[in-house]
Amino acid sequence: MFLLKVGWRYAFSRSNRHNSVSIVIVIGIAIGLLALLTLLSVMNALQYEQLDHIRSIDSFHIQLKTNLQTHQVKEHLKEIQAIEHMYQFVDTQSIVSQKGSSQSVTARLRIIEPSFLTDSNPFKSNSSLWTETSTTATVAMGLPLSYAIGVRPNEQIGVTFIAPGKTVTLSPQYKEISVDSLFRSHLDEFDQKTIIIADPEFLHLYDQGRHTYGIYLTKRDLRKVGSVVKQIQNILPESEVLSWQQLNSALYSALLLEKMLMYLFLWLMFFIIAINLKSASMRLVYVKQRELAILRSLGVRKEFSSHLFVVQGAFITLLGEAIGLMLSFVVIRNFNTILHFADRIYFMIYQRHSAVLLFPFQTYLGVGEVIGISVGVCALSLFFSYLGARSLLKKEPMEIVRNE
Amino acid sequence: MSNLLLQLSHISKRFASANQTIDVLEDLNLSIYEGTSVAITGKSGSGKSTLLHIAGALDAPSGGEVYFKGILLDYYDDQLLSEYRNRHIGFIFQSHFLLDDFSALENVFIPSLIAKEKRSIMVKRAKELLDKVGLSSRLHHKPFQLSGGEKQRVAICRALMNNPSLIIADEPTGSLDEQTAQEIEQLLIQLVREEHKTLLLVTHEKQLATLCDTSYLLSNGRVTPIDE
Repeated sequence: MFLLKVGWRYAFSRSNRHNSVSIVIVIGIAIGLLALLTLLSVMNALQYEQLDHIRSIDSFHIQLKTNLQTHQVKEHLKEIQAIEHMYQFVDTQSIVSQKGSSQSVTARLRIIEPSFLTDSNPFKSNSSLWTETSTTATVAMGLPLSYAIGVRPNEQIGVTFIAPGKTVTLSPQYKEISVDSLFRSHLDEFDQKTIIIADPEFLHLYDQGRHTYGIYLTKRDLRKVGSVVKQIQNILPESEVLSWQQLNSALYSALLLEKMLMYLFLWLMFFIIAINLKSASMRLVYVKQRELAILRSLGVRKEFSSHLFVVQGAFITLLGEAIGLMLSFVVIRNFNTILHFADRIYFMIYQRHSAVLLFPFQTYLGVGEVIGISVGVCALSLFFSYLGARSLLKKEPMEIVRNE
Repeated sequence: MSNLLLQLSHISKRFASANQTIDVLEDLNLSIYEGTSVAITGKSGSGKSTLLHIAGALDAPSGGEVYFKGILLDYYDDQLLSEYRNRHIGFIFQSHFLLDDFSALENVFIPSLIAKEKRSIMVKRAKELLDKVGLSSRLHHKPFQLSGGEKQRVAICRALMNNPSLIIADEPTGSLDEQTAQEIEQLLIQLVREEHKTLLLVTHEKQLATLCDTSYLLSNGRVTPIDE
């Protein structure tokens, strides 16, 4: 109790002549923590969004290859609550041209079940689909691709692609179809190269052999993709099941590397804060050296003295962290409002809006990240408080105040 | 003859800086008996305070031995030395050395708090001591709210709090005006006698030195008795 009482008074007592040092350290810790957490939440948001687009648009959350028909697969997997949507699909290469034009481009043809373009699935929520009002979308072309070959909605295109033949393994097919909708997702590369055909007739062309199914999980189960893959493998042992991470392993590795580098930079920032914390903590100990000498002369043990400064450091750090966490919570929760406010100022200066400031961030911060950073800051602060006290404790009590 | 309480044997203390070495104490011998009061006088810089700090285990000698009740302090580890300072020694410094963040009452009972004594007992004793020095109305004042004389009275109470065998006072009236200094001197001697303590005192004041049983002059690193 004595230790806590003295520690608290040394940190914050109003009569404490070095009170301002404690307050400056508290402010420093609060701002440092705010900067770390806000930056981490924004970087998480950017990464999450990037990953979400990849898994929702380019690939599915899980891809399953099996000999079973759609109804059989659905029957087998109905027990897995995490599965929200499942579509049979085929991805194949094609040559696309405007009807009557000699200009053609290569494109990826995604042939899929019709409900893909009508369900509210992750693809739909992450992209915009423009359809003629009277029709249901069956052929959707990426907007940049439609610009590239000069096709507008309801115009005919010729598609040449390869499908299993009746007498040969594979044979080229040519179909003329009408583009009834255009889409735009957040993945430009996908939009520039893809035509989606949600027509069962096209799917029938691929009835022979193994079928590929794209699976979307519910939002809350997105992090359990690994365990869902294992569940599917257990239920359908002959099947081939791959998660979106496995399907995009190169890209996923790049993103992981990016995340590692992001953490490295954050820790470098943290290191700069730690250096400031160190000098502040040492200063806190040095301004109290007179009191330390008095306490030692009254019979306080060296051990107690070092504990005292660690407790003092703990009080200051905890207060700084509490303020920092509250500020971070407010800033992260209102990040878009803050950006919009900044955009207003930008508009007042340049008479135009900023694309960067209007970007809709969905800031995200894991509980583990908050705890990790808070504990890290606290441990560092306490360690440096201890180091500061230890350097003084090597001296005899009167040596400490000899120059006072 | 009363028992030997503190014995300083062949004490030397050397302060070394980058370009010079100063021998403050050289082969100093001093014996202090229980229940007596000893005054050390000497010029400024003669090493009086250094001698007190060594006697109270606040500083280590460069050579020689310090015995307390016949036990060599070199044998004490940090825990025993802390206990020695807490239970057997009461320090009164020239510049009071009170803790700024604590009230007068708290400053007085801190030595008992360190000794982990029962709160009610220590508060009662601290109040009694403060009452004796006329500060019963200033119990909850912080040091910055007290005058120099009041602060020194609080420091005297703190030194007596744990009922130590030896009171070490380093020019306790050095920073006070003449009238207050006289009051504090009287009070210190009176309290030491009332509580049957041994006093080791460093002072510039001849008058205060004459109130003690024995006086020594510290010069050239050694002490010599002063004949009355």
